[in-house]
Amino acid sequence: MNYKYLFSYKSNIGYFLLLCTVVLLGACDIGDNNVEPGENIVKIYNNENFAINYDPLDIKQTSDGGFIILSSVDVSDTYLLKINELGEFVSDTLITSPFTHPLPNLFEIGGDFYFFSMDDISLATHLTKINLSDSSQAPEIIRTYTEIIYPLAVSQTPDGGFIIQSYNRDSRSSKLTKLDANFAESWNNEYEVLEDVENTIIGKFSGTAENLPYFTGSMNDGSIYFFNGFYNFSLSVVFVNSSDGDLIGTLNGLRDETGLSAAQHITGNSFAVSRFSFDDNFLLPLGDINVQANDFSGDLGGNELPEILPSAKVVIKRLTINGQNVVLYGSETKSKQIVLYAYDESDGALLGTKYFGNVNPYEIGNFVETTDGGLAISGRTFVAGRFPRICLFKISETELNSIVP
Amino acid sequence: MSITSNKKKLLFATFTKGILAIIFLLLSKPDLFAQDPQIDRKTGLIRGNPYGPDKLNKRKSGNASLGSTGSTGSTPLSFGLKGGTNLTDVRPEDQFSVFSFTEVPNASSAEKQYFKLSDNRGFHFGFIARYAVTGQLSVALEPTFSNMKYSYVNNYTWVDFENNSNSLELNYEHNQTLNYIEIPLLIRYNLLNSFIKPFVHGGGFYGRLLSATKKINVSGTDYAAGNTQEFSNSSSTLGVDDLYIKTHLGLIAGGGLSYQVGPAAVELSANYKIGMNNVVNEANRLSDDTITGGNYDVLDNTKLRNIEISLGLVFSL
Repeated sequence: MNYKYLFSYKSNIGYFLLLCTVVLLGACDIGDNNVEPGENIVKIYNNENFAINYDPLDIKQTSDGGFIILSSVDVSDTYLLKINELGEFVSDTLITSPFTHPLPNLFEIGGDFYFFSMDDISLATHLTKINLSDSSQAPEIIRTYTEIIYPLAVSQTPDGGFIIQSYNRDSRSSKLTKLDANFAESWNNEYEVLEDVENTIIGKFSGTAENLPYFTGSMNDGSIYFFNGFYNFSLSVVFVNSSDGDLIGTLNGLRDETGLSAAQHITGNSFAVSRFSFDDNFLLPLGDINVQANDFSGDLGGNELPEILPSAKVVIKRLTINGQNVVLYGSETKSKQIVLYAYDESDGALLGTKYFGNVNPYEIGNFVETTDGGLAISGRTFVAGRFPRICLFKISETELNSIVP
Repeated sequence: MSITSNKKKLLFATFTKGILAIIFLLLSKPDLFAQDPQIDRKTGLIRGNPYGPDKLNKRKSGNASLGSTGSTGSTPLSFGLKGGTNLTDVRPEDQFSVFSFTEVPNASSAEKQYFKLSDNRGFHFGFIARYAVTGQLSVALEPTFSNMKYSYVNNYTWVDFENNSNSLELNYEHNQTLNYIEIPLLIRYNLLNSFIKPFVHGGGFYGRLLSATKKINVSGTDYAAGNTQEFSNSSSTLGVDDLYIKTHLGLIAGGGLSYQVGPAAVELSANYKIGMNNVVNEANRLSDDTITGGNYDVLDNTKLRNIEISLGLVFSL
């Protein structure tokens, strides 16, 4: 065989050029192998305490790009966790008796963070402020509302004020209190339950009964407020006039076995809601609710999702993802994963889903859009299947957009 | 783009250009290392570069000795097989963990404890294609299947501070296996033309990931379940191809001995391979929930270093 051509000078150059081309083309992934730190985060905030139990309620992004997470600890105490933009622990604050049972919303006002909690002795409501610029991050009690006992839910209104849902055990009524932007009471109104549900309320605070989905909210124009609480023997959504709290309409449940688990106003009479009926869960991303009628929540219909855990917490928020107006549901599955469902706000069509966590149980706390266009989800996981710890999932804008193709 | 990213790209570009420069230098100057023709006093043959400026060797000696390439034929080309063991040393650059501790731990650690070199044993086998440039100098391509293993462990402890007898210790042992097809380009220099021929060689390699797997062994001691109980569970083997990038580039330096047995040369060599790039896929580091959320592991940015010990058999054409 004549090898002269095979191993000639020109042939050799050709072989090596071919080899180098293959190498260079194949090695492109080295140059592309770079991700900005903090774009994606999976973190579990662990310690060696065998007995402590965290239950995160809300998450907000701070001005430094990090996050602050509001959590309850061991059912009653309040815990604030500050983490940096990479998801690493920075500091924490444990607030114990009498400032207990934080309500599941954290509010940022002027760079400071506020939350409401209950006094475990007087049952009154405290407004507490955390100043992150203060190195001690000592909580400061701004105001105590002695007339608001058993606070159950709170949300901010379009005018910068707040509405607080509570339970008046003396009148056996649900109570809604409107605060202005300076935290002064504007009005309050009560809505008769017609039976004593204090044991159910106490069960929520003591952790001995099911944590029913109490929530408050507003129509976008601020004309109507609503709360999900006990009214007329049942867990119902009560719509009230925002100027004085007068009842306008209701969406009744069936005792506490059927009702709504979350609601978000879209526009007009359109709401995105999730509802439960015994152990079944239904998501209705675009449903019409007549706020001036007295209807039954079981008639709303919706998409039944058997994968969602009975009594699961559901969070609904309106976001713009990948240029589309999206209603994003967050909940937890029977396989104990956190799940996001993205629906088209205009027609209620499902656009995509995403799951977080595996093997060990994961439960949703809340989620928030991040300044880099991503999404941060706080939750609870049971490390090694047994230690309840706060977890954080942060996904990049690219990954978030991939949910909504 | 970060400074780190620019450094990586610069390093990659420099490395690639360096390899290319060496290749072209050798090809464009085939007589660069040529020796003047010499008469071997023992054999009477003419030694030297058959393709050098003096063409005597090529014309006059059809079976000129080519040193330790094992060639006794008429061409400067030889082929062979090789195989052996390799030990992997991992150099994590940036370390990551799923856990962030809210209190300084006493016995737990978010940092991985990497196994030492001798515990990370893999294997390799491949082909040798060698081209003698001169009697002492040769260039070889050695396409190799390389199986690399490396492991690390994380230890975690939880203690009931009110009742110290309530505690749990967990150890997560993570065993990674990476299979690459590697194409090393080696320049070899024979130190002596003796009966047993020592040589040194060096060069670079291009590796392409074929597959990556991970096996996780969880063991521990549970002091809280009513009695002290030790347990151990192994996961099934998980495919983790997406957690690594496909390319592995690096440098090789080493040496060995060659022993001519008839038409073949038996070669024993040892190489030290330095990976030049992070083999972990940064974009996919957190993508596998079974590993991150289920087994609390995130791969560190990692460069691989290997010691290879090979036995080869080379035939000349």
